[in-house]
Amino acid sequence: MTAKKVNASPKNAVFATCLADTLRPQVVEATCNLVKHCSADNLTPILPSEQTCCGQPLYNSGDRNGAIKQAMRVIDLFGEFDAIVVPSGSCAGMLKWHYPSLLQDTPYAQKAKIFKEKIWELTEFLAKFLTKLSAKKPLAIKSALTWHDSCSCLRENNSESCARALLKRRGFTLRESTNREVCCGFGGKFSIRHSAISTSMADDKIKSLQASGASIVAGADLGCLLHLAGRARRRALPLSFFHIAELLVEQINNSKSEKGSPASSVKSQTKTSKQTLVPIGA
Amino acid sequence: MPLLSLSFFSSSQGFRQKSVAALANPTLRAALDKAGTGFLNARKKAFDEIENSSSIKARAQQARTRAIDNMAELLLLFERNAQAKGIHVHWAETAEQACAIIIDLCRGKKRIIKGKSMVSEEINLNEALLKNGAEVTETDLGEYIIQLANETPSHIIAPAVHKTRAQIDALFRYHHENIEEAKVADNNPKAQRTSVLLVEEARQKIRDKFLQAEVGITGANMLIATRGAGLLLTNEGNGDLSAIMPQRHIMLAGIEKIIADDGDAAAVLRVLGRSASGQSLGNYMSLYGAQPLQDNGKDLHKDLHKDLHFVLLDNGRSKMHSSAWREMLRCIRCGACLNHCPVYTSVGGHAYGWVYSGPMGKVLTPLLAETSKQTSAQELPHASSFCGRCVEVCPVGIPLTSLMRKLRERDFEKPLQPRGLKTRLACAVMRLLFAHPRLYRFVIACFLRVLKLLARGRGHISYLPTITAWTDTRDLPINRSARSAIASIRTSYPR
Repeated sequence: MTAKKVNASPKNAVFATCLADTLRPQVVEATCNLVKHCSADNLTPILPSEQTCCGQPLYNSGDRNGAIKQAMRVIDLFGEFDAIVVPSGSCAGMLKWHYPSLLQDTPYAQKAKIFKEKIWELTEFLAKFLTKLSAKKPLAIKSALTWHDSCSCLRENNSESCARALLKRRGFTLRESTNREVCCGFGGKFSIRHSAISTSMADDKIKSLQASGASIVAGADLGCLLHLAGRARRRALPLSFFHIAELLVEQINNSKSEKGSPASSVKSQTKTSKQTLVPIGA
Repeated sequence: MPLLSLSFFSSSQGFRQKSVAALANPTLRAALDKAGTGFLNARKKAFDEIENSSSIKARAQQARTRAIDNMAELLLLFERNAQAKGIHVHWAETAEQACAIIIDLCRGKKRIIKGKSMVSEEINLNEALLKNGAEVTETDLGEYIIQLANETPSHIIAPAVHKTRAQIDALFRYHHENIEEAKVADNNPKAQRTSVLLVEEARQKIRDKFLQAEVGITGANMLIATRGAGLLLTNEGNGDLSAIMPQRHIMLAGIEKIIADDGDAAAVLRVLGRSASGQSLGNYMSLYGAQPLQDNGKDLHKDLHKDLHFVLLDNGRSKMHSSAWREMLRCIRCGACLNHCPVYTSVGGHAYGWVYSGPMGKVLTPLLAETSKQTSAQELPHASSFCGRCVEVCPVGIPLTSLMRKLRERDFEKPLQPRGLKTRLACAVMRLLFAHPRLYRFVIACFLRVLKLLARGRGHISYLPTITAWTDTRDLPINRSARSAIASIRTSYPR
């Protein structure tokens, strides 16, 4: 166990999610900084280094036993924390809603029920605790943006209003797309096993996003964003995709420098502090 | 001789190939696009208009749950009550048996008319009847169109939804030789006719068949146990003409169509039309078998010289009843899950290879008796992004995505098949890596370096060996730093 010995409460942890950890580390870093910013005494959240994946790929492939084992591992690793923040609606839904049913006939049934109460999808967490943002800071993105609703945020976590409230509170100009409740076609292994349908759904979704008039798309699920950004890039469409954590953290980074405490924010080793916001896939 | 060839279920081509072909068919895409939002908006409006739509759905779910929980007793009650009125009840365990019973009931009678019945499509009834020399006419407009085109339904509510008006116009011109030219729009024989003219033309053609028919076969939306009567809901009135005009009326239904009583039937009716087409009710609702036909063997309706036969089909349903997929029997065939499914609206119904398509088809087809043996049915539950919209719109609360996942789990447990091998291998690798976080970190680190090499300075790659199914149509955004978040952050982090 790596995550131990932080003697303050509440103890917050970040579940990086395998996709963000691997392909978009900026999202994990931003999430850590946002969670830190939200904690009362500016406490850094724990990012257990033994974490891997929530087990959803196993679960959706029909490997129930594999998924059960992974769920138990995740609960063992994260069970001691008071709040676990997840920058993905899909993984949050897995931890929160699917673990209890997956583990109901195992010795972990009760643990899963307790665990469920500690899971926060990022936008849900920020909508509740991110109150210290100053509306005067220059925005990371000045042009209008549109919000991509992930199916899990819409139908599992019911957190679609959180992201909108956050973006509006920070002064971003939000333009709604059409067919908001229609899936973008990612669906994990579905995107590979039924690539043609998945791509067709991406094209439909891109059309709806473009109907908003905005050229910047923000979302809370990296799976959807990688899929849509990859498709838009292949078609050479003028659309940029960002995870909401990346957009919001720019605001607190700006405000931090004013307060004169930039050293306290979480930094990866490889990044320079001057790095600008680069769209997914660019 | 096997009556049932199940030619309908084409096993030579699986869902994958058919879906790819469907996506490349512009006419089909145009037809699906046009149909698309109509159903959705109508349904939404119909439920928004009523105050307590969630309690109405809960009540319908309760009615269906009660019916399925007490299926055996209610079916026996239905049989007793129907027989007491001189109505015949036939039980068919398989599709072959159902076809044989109906062929027997049509013996010596040639001209048969049919109302829309998806169960008749399920058992391939038309083919069986035609083989026996009968002349069968579908009277529902959609079914009539696909019968002329020699196709199968692509939607359980709108069987010809995949056809454009231009296609239907051409089809009618080809088959309706002696239609008066005056009916052709604007005296221009080449001009595409309006829907109204096309409907009128079909009406004329079908009317003759009603007048001559000897047997009428319809489906049933519900079988009301306490009445021993079948309830039929239609929009065109063709179901009622099929039932009333011929001497003999055969009502064909799956055994799961049982419902306890009038109150429960009403609860289902409140959601059925609204979910299907946004109608508060269908245009025509009739009860067949509500009145006694005989009393002590005495014919009470000599003038009507009617007889009514219920043919009740199992075909794998009772097996489903005692399985993990029992909840699927609650389905009332409203079609809302099809209309709201992004996969269905992308590829249409024919890609699913059988009468039941969309999310409900992905669960039913691998479970119903004959199709469950077809290997191509096994792919259906995998063709979902699990977006969950079907679950959201299902008026009787069927957890369709969970049931699909259970089918994937059943697949996973099965002896290995080529595709199953791939899945199991991938899962074995994931299990290994998840169990060994340090090994996982090492593999991820290597993977990220490879991606960076392949990207050659860009933020994405366009070709990923072994996972070309992604990069065939999409770029893969990569991590420019080539270090995972945990690898790069952890040294500066409390552990």
